[in-house]
Amino acid sequence: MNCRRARAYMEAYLMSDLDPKLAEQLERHLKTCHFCQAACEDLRRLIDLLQRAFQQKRLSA
Amino acid sequence: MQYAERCFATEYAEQQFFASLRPRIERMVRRYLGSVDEDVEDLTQECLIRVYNSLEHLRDADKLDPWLQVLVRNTVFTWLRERRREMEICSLGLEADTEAEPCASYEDETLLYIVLQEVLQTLSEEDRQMIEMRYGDGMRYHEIAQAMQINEEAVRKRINRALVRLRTHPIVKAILEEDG
Repeated sequence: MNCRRARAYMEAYLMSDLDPKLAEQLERHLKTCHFCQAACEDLRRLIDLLQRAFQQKRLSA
Repeated sequence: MQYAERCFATEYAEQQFFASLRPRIERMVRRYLGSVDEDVEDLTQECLIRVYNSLEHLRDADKLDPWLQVLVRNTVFTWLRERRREMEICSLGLEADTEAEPCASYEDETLLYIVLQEVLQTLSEEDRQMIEMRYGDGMRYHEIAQAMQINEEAVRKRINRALVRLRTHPIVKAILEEDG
């Protein structure tokens, strides 16, 4: 898997919504690519922020 | 002895101190609002007033920077919350309640949601719905595709594009930089 495809599937991977074979390929890519590792961590933090915000919306509804 | 007492032996020293703070505070405000926002100047002034009113509580000079960051952040976020509330009230055709609310802290998750609502306004209505389905309701691509009546690949691409847009918003950048 190259960086372009890795970035395209990263969100689905973090949300456990990626085909297992693609997830495996992505994990292999992440082990060797520091740029994509950093991008993945960055995306994980953004997703966490959104999830916390929507969770709060639900609690205060 | 507290920081303010040690610093301001003369009125001139006090003036110099606040003059030197202005550009620093303005930079911090711009990080949250973006460089072209017309409210930067007003908010910078508001922050300076808050510094003036509460500097006596600062005991440790080494903690001036983090103290200032928290003060600016809370001032900006409270202002964003107020602005949003006023917009909602205006859309209902009611008059704004002018009673001041206590300043909320960043740790307040409610405030985080309100601030992010502001950011989400930069997306289209459909993209906002998809983002909420995905991260609020935990829906999978195929479920969102079904609800929005578009194909899964289109959902994936639109969510990815919306995330890129959110990630580059100055408020989100500032929050993630501070959290990191």
